[in-house]
Amino acid sequence: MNWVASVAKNGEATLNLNGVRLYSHYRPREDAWKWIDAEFDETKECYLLIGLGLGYHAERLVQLANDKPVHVYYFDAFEYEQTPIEQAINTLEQLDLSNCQILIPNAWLKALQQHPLFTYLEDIKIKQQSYKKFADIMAHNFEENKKYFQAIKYPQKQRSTAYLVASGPSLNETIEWMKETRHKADIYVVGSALKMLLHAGIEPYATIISDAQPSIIKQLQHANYNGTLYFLSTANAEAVEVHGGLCVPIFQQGYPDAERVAKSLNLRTLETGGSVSTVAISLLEHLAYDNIVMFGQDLGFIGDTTHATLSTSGRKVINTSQLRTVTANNGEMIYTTSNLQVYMRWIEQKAAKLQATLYTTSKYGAAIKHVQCLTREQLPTL
Amino acid sequence: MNELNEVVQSYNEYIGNVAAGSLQIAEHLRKDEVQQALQSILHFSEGMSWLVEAGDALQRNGLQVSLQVEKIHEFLNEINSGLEVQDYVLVADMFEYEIAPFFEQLTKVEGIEQ
Repeated sequence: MNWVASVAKNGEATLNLNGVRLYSHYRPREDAWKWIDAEFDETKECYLLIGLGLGYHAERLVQLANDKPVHVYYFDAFEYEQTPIEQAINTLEQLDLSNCQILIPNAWLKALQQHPLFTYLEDIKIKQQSYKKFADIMAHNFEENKKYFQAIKYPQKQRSTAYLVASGPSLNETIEWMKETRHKADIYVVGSALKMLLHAGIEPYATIISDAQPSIIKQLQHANYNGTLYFLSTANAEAVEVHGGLCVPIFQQGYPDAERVAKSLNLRTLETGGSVSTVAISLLEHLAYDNIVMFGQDLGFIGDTTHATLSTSGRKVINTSQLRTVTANNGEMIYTTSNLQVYMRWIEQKAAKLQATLYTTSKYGAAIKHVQCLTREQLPTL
Repeated sequence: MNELNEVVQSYNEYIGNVAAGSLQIAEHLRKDEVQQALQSILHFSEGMSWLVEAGDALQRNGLQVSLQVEKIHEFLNEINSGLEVQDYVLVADMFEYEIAPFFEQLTKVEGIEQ
């Protein structure tokens, strides 16, 4: 760990770690306090702050927490030498994190990209940010979707293999494979690839949506699709409303209202993993398929194209400095993003413990541990 | 002449808005709202290109422009360096403590009497 201490313009000490500023070089304490003030959740019972450094965040957190327990994780003895406070800890083991707010300043994450805890912390941070951004709209959707939360019966599977179709660029090619073998599997498609499938003459067995934002309405509007729609309880209510066929809610773990309703209906809650495809994997696990074959689940991209051509999602990438590289199934290096990596790590962990066998058809997509990549010739053998 | 005065007006309006926009970018970054900040930084960089071009045109028409192009390039280079290593505190510092004060003290261009 490369620590560089210096003096900020206002005379306070400031600190860089591995070439990244942890604090402002102008008003370090004031900015750190502002960050804590903006993040602090007074409804929590305890607090875990990641990164001790010069203690600016910690001192404000301790003030706001009053008598509630505060733990401040430090990575290096250097930090404790600078700031030997009683709340400092150097291990996360045996820490009870129930109803505990975990506070991770982004600057620390950026400085610790090579640290063993990085992926764990990044997963937490991305989920926190996503929740913070969409909390209001999720609550609104949940309320509006309540009319579907009764007498729920999940449709039964018809075959032992499920295809899970996402809208990564490889779908442009593999949609042709699917045409040849479509009768061998129940086809589940995420909303963004629905119209592409219908355009190819493939009628999916079910469609899945999870996004809370209104931008997904276009995935179903004028699609002329009346099959089953699985939707996350907080998925965009208008999108659910425009669907003409059967609407089946999915209740997610970690969302208290969804957990409460699921319990009252005697239904299982599912892990979400953060994306519609990961929700879909949880659903297919719940429906007890033997084989799950992923199409268009690239979790990365070549060049600047993130989605298949006819997908209703996707964007052109304009700045590669925010991107990371990972190894693809064909051994080449491809671009990916921090979000896609979170989903990839979730799928890896899920695949390791799934009863079903998970496959992908995405030769140019990110290689995922415990997930075999199928060729066009291997696909019909399932 | 009218067209020139319109450019002067837009130029001055834009300069008048840069400080507030810069502080907003810094605030997004300090709240870890990186995507929103990046989107605004993209607009900022497009705005700076327009300012440099418009400033050039005004100067060619004999008007006094106090904005130094080298200073803009210096800001943009520094921002780019910060973004490359994802040092968002550095970028926030730049916007809050360098760019905003710089534009706050910038003299506006005077138009031509008609």
